[in-house]
Amino acid sequence: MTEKQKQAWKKFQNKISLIRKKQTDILANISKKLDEQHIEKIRGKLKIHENK
Amino acid sequence: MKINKELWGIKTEQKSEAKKREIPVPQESPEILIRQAEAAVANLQRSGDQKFNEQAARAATEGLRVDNQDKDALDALRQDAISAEQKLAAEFSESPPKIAEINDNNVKQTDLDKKDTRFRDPSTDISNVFVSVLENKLNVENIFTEIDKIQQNIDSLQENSIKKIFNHFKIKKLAAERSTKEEQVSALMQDIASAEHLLSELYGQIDEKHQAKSIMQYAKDHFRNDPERMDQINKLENERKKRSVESAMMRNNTFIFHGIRDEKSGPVGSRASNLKQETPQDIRIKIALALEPSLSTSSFKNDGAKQGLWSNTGLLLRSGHIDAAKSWDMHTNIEGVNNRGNLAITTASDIDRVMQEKRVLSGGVVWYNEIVVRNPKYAGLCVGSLELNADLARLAEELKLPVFFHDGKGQVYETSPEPGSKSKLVQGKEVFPSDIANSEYDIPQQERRDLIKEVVRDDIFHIDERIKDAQKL
Repeated sequence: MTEKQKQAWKKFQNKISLIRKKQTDILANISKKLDEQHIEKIRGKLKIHENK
Repeated sequence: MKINKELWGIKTEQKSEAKKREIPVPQESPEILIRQAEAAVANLQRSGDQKFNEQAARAATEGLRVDNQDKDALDALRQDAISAEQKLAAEFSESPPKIAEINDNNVKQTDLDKKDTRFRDPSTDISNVFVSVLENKLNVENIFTEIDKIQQNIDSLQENSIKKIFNHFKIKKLAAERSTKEEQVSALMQDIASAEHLLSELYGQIDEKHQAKSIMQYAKDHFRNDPERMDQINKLENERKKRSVESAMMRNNTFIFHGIRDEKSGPVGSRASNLKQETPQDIRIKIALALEPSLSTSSFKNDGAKQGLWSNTGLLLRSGHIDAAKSWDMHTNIEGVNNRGNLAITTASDIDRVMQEKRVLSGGVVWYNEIVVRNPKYAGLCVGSLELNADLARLAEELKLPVFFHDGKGQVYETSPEPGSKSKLVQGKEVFPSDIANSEYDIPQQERRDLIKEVVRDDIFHIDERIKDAQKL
């Protein structure tokens, strides 16, 4: 394996690590947003209940 | 604007994170590295899809909406990964690949030079891929040691309520540190999974004679003249021993039990089990015995205290490899016969901690833990009553399966059929985890094949669900 290929492999590994981390963060963000929507829904229902 | 800032924050964090991870110098041949790269990208996409689909399913069930911006960002990442893989392939194809230098002194480089790399013996690649698995596994073990130290610090800082209040911020900082380490382990685990997938693919290419040797034995033979590698292999083997069911049972004086409910019990989600709800209990047991799949189990101590179990009937394990352990239900899901997903990051000391914990929570609630075991072997059937139903009695007789009785308080006893009765049992002498770990029940190979033919039928598996999963790939 040439030095250039070694460098290319390292670069690929770094890139994939970054992508994996980003993917984890985005998925965590999706889950967080869904939780927020869920809480908002419950709040909405409580408000309707209070107004009755 | 806020989102951009967040993205920027993530980007800078990721750069420093990547710098922290030491990248081993590759020893594999370029073609193997390209296959590893393909596997890594496929694995990344698969795990991303699976998690996204779970969130999308949740959104659909609860009437919520997944932000399109996030979905687009995920799609863009998929493209980035594919581009990175293509770029790597292009770099590697620029100059003709040379045969990787190997450590086996019996093979001369000149002999290898004569062969076309495409027809090289896969056993050489097995050894090289094994090294990358080995290095990653050792990295994982090192991080596990660090996690253990952090956890010990956390435990000492929160010995009592007053200490806990005073050390609130220190504890928070350490918990964040543990979480970062766990993320590193998670990333390495994904690399290991990709490489192991490739390893099993290569293993399938070698002839039957060589397949009789395990990959570990293969590596030992291959690196017998390399003391550094041999040291690494021995370290890994010791760590494996710590994670074995038999060793964990004996260390902690606990039993490990795979509960199997009957078809009338509450439903089990299609993500948690491959089997349909209506699958009879005796067939479920036969499937566990025949396929030895990755299982969710619970441990219980023989300390006379009330034990929490998912089901009173099931199989007692005598052997296997512990992948993960948690004090409560981990909500793992199936990823094929030999893998479960959504596993908690678990060090060997975590296993001991989980197994030592009392299962009675405040207010007298009894709960069960979850221990995920790969390649399980069984000591026998274990039931909470001295009377078997007709199906289980027939199953035990047919497979010569030892039947144990547990009293719900951690004590386990041998049993024998009551004379003149097929279903009633007579309680025998008490057995201990060490007896179970040293027991030898097994099904002969031919009988196992027959059992597989008998039980593996389309109508009992969630085939539709799995086809849907496959279509998503």
